[in-house]
Amino acid sequence: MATQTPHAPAEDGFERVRGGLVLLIAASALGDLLAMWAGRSLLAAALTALLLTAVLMLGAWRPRGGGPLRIWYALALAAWLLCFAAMHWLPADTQRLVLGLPPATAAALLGLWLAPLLLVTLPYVLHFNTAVLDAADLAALEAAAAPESAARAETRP
Amino acid sequence: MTPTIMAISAAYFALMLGIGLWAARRTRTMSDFFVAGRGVGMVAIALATMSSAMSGFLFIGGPGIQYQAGFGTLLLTMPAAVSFALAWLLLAKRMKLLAMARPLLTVPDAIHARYDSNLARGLAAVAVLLGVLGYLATQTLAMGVVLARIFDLSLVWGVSIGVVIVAIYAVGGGMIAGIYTDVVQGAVMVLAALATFALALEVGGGMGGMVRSIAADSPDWVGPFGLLEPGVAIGWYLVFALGILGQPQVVHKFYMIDEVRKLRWGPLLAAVCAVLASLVWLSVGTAMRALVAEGAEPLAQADEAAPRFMLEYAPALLAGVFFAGVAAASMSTADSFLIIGASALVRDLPLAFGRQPSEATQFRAGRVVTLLLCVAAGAIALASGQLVAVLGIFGWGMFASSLAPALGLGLNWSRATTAGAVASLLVGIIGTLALELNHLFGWLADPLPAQLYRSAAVFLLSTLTFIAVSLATPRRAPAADVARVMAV
Repeated sequence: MATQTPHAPAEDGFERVRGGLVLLIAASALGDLLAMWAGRSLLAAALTALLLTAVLMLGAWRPRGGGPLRIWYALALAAWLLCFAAMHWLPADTQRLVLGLPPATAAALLGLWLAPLLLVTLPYVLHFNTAVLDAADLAALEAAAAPESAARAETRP
Repeated sequence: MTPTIMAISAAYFALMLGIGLWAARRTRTMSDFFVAGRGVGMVAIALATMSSAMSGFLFIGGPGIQYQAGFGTLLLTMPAAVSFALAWLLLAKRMKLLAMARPLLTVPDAIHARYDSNLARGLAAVAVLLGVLGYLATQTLAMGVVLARIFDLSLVWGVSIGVVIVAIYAVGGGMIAGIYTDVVQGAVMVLAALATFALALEVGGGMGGMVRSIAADSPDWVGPFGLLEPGVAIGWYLVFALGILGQPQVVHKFYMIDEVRKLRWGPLLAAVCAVLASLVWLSVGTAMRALVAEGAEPLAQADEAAPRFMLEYAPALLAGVFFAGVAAASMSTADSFLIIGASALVRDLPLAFGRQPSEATQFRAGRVVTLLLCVAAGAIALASGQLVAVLGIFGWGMFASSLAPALGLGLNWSRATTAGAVASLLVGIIGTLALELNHLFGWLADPLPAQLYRSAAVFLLSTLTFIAVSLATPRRAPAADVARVMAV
C-alpha cells in the first residue's frame, strides 16, 4: 500500500480555489450556527443555502475549473434564496391557494423539492462526461491503478 | 388484519427469503459478503441507496410527524432532491476510483486511505458502530411492531420472527442479499406511495379541501414550517442534505458499482424515486389530520396515522402491500446495517489496532458477528423502551456529525490533515452522544436554545473543527494514488 509523503504539494490555482471554497464553507457554517442560535431563521436559511452551494462547488471544481456546473449551482443558490424568502414572507393562510396549498407552503414544495432536482441533480447527469469524469481522466486513473490491481489479483487464492 | 393483508405479507416475506437464499449461493468471498462482489449495476445501486436512506420511517414516522406538526416536517425529506447529487458529486467517483486502486471495503477504510491514520480509522469504526446500533434497534423494533400488527402477535413474537428472517438472509447472503432486497423494496415503496397518494387525495377531497379543513382548526399547521420552530426546520434541511456525506449505508454502496461510468444516472434515479416515495408522507399525514379536523376520532399516537389510514380507507390489496412493504423496508435496512456493523467489528477495529485478519477469517467472523448483532438488536429493541427512539434519532446525526466532514470534505480538500479528521470525529461522536443522552435523561438544562436542532449544532461544530484544526496543523500531502483520485 502506498504511504503518505512528507512533502507539501505545490499550491496551484486548483488547490487555491478549493481552499477558498473551504473557507467559504467555514464562514457560512459559523454564521449558520450563530444565526440558528440567535433564532434568525431567514439568515440561517440563507447561510444554509450558501453552505450547500459552496459544498457543491467544492465537489464540482476540477483542475480545469468549475465547468458548466458552476452556472447551475449559482442558479440553485438563487432558487434556494428566493424559496426561503418566499417561505418567510409570502402569505401562509388559505385565502388563496397554489397547488392546493398556501402560497408560502407551495413555495417550499417548488423551491426545495423541484428546483434542486432540476438545478443540481439533473445537471450532474447532463454534464457527467465532461464536468464530472471525462474519458482522459479515467484512462489515466485506470493506468495508474493497474499495478495495484494486478498485485491484488496475484495474491488472491 | 384481514386474511388478504396476511397473505400478501406472507408472500412478501417469502420473496425476501427467496432473495436471501439466492444471494447466499452467490456469496463465497469476503468481497461478496461486505460489498456484493463489486458487481452491482446502476439501477440496483440507485434503488438500494434510496430505500436504505429512506427506510420504513418514510411510511410510518413521516406521516406521523406530519400529522402532528404539519408541512414543516417535509424539510426532513425534501433534502433528498439534492442530497443524492451531493453524495455522488463529492464521493461516488472518488470512493469507486480509490477502491480500484486499493482493497477498500468499508467507510473507515476510505478514512484510513485518506489520512493514513489508524486512530482516524478506529474512531470512524466507533462512529459507525454507534450509529448502526441506533439504526438497528429502531429498525428491529419497527419490524416487530408491524409483524405483530399484521399477524396479531405479541411484540416479542413480532421482533423474534423478524430477527430470524433477517438473520437467515443476512448471515447467508450478506450484502448481495441486502442490495437486492433493497431493490425490491425501493420499487415497492415508490409504487405503494403513488397509489397511496392518489387514495389520500380522493379520501381527503383534494389537497385544497384538506388544507382548508386543517387551517380552520390549526392555521399554523398549513404554513411552510408547520408547528415547528423555523430554525429547527432549517436545521433538519441542512443535516439531512449534507449529512448524507457521512451515511455508510449510502456511500458504502459506491464501492459496489461494477463500472465507474455507471455513476452517471444514479443520483437522478435515486432522487426522483425518493421524491415520489415521499408523497406518502405529504398526503397521508395531511389526510388523517384533515379527517380528524372534520370530526374523526383523534389518534392516540401520531405514528398511528399511516396504519389507521390504510386499515380504514385503503383496499385490502394496497394495505397488504403497504404493511408488507413497511416490514420489509425495516428488514432490508436492518440487513444493510448488520453487514456494515459486522465489518466495523471484524475488519475496521482490528485493523485500527494493528491486527491484520485474513480474508477468510473476516468472512467467517463476519457471518458469526452478523448473527450476534441480529440477536443483540432484537434484545435491545425489546429491552430499552424509550432509549430506542433516541438511538434512532441520533443514528443519522451521529454519521453526519462524525463522518461527513472527514470523508466528504476530506476527499475534496488536500489541505485537510489527520489531526483535523480526528478532532472532528471526536467532536461528532462525543457531541452527539452528550446532547442526545442529556436530552433523554435530563441531567443538565438543555445547553441549546429551542430553535437550534441538536444534530445541526454538532454537525456545524464538527465541520468548523475539521477546517480550523486542519488549517492550524502542518500540512501533509495524501499518498500519491489518493492525491490522483482527489484531483479528478
